[in-house]
Amino acid sequence: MNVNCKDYQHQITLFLYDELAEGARHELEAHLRECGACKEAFDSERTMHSMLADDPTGWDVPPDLLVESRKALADQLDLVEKKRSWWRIPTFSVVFTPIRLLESAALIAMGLALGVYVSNQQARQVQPTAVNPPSENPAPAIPRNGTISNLQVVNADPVTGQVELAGEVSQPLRFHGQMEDDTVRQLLFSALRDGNNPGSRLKAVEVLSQKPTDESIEEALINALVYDDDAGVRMRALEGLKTFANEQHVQAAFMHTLQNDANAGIRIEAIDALLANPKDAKLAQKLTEATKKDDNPYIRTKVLQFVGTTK
Amino acid sequence: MIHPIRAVRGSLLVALALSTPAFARCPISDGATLIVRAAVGDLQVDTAGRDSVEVQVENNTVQIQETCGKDIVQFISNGPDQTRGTIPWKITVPKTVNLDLVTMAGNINVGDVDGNVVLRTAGGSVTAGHIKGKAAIITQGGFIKAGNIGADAELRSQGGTIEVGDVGGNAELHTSAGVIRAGTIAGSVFAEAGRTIYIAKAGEVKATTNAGDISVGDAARINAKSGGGNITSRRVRGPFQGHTESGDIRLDSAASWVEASTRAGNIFVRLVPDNLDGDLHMDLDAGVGDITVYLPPRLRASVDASVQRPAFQSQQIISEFPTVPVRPAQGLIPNKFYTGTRSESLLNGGGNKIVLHTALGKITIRKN
Amino acid sequence: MEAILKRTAQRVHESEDEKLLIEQAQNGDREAFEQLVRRHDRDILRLAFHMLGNREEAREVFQETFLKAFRSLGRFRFESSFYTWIYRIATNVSLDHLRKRQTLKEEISYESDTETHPDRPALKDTLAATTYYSNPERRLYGKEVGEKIQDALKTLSEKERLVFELRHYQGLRLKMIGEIMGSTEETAKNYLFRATQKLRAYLANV
Repeated sequence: MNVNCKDYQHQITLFLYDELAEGARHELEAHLRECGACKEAFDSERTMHSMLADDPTGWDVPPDLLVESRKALADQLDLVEKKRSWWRIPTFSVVFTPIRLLESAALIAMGLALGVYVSNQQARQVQPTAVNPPSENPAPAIPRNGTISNLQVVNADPVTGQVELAGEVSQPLRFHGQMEDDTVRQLLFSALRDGNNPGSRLKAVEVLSQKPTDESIEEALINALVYDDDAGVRMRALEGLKTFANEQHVQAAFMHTLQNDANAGIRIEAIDALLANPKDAKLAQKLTEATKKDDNPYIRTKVLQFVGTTK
Repeated sequence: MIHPIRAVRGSLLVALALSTPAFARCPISDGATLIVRAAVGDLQVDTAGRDSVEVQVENNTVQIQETCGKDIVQFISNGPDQTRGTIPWKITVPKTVNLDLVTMAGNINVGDVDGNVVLRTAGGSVTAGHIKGKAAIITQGGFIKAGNIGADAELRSQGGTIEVGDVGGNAELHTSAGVIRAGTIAGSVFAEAGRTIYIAKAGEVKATTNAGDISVGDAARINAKSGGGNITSRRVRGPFQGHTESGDIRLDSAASWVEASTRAGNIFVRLVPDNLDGDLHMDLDAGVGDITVYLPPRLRASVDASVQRPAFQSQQIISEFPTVPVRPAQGLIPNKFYTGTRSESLLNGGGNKIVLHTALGKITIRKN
Repeated sequence: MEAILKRTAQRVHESEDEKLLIEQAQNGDREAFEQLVRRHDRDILRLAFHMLGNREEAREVFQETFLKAFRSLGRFRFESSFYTWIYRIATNVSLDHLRKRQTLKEEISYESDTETHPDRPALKDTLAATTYYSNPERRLYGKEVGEKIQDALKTLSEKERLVFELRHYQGLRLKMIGEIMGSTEETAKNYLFRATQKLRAYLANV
């Protein structure tokens, strides 16, 4: 290798990251045709790239770590927001209190609603306009079988009679779709997070387990297994994850369950699942560590048996 | 009389020392009890035996202490804590004995038994055939599957599914994270599960689950609670009390009084009493959901139906019986924008108190 | 290679609707902020995990990065792309965490002494090869090759590791990496050359 080849070494590195300008690229390609040493260096670096590409640990983030981190961040953001909210001035110009629909219509017309005022910031030019009679039919955007809640008065102009109201509409939801459908997925994942409703979470886990095809479902099931308060939901999630039992993230989740779940039945399922696929060379060690405080004789025996067979 | 350890000598004793099984045997008569205590082992019980009970264990590190008594036969093993794998215990015993089997770690598999059984394991599944007597089956984790049980049954698991056929006496079925499935239970049943409970038929039913549906085909009386799931019954011949945190309640045929509530879900009750003289009151509360009831046309009742937060424009209370709209509570001036959300009606002069309430939904009252 | 190029193209496309999200988030829309986070959180976590080498610190870096972003989002003026901005925060937080660990070796810095970053103390040659202590999580996810790669990466200095991580695993252009580091493309290249050289030498010997 001559002195110039050192520069070419740098070019090789840039080339493999597609960071070389076209001219320099051609020059490098020409040089590689002539210089055996540099060609060797090129091949060696390219091999390194494939080695790195094939290694999954470089590319993956353990999904349970991602889940944990997201949750912790959400909690922190809640705290930060709570501190903030007192100074956050709404972009609307009106300070309001919730008022029931009927009363507000009458009261606003008289401009007497308690706690409702129009701030000077929004003082408009007052122009005499014909006051339109209130419409007989409400806005078609409100569904007939919906229910209104949290109604608030955003703005009210006693002169024109214009009223702006905000609130929430609830109505029953019925939805058909395929599992691959994004909306269906969204609904199911959102059901999984419904803290008040273990039945709903259980049903979501059941449906998601039926077609466990991809990473996002795996992540959701791991989340349910590790974090759900309800034993039935956790157990069902574990059953659903058995399809992915070969994957290291799932194995890690099972290991976590084995070490931490209060329910012996679930821990037993976890260890049975781990022992069904004993690929990890360090599994015996990990199991011993994870179960050293476990008082269940079945689990202890299974670990001892497994450790015995690997010796 | 305690016999020392016996080992069967095979011709390949030297070369196959590890596979020399342990073996024990006692004569046993009808109605006697076999007790087995194994520290580690999968107990496989074949009930095709004749006059004796035999135990064979494929592991020379296991020592069995046998006690051959008249009414009680015992095989006890304090096996090693550490072993090279599961140890199958092959037990052959006549059908006509009682079984009391305990293994600290392993499955139990029993055929048909004419007597009573007590089967316990700290972790592992238990499968049993048809038991003519009583059955108590307990595992800390793992499923329980049993055929029919002639007398009382107590089946407990922490995590696994409990499946039992018909039960001739009362049943206690408990699993904290699993599913319960039972056939016809002659007596009463108390079922506690982590997920779904399904009982084909029973006397008195008390069922609770944290997250799952409760489905009872036919029962004399039902008390059901679910943390989140539907409660349904094809026919309940006596009173019904049910509550679910979220889910529907549906009684296709209720013969007596009904108290049902759900925080979010619909309630459907069809009242089909054997006669119109008993207590037929109803209290249905659907937090967010519709209520539909079918009442016998000649029922004497005072019906009070209310919808707390009426839907925007659709009708809230529909009744095939003549109703009297009740004025809204004082404080609000009625006007055309405010449709009635409370109605009272007297059926056939009044009588049983029927209260139907939903915070958000609609109420439909129909004639049977 | 193709994967990296595809991701870069995807980033460009996303930046248009990202502008709207940023504005909404700046107005206090928590939902919009969370959507912004979701676009980058996996990558940031991977960066943190690779830089710090263990779960707890990775999570801390993750949290600190996004909280900082949340608090200072008002100051974001669309002068760079959002992901450059967030990566800058993440790399600074990662380097700060690394610096807190005791260092053993000293290493010559590849930046000129006159370059300083406004938000941090002057980058002098106090950076050293970090010692990644025994890490059970790594073993959990590593195959034999994977472990060798992790070992190889341990031989890099903080900056070399950072540049390699951003170029190789995150797919960022060297010019961008220079910006993120508060430095130049040339400096980033130098770190990349050193990193590649060390890795190649290490992995060729296994």
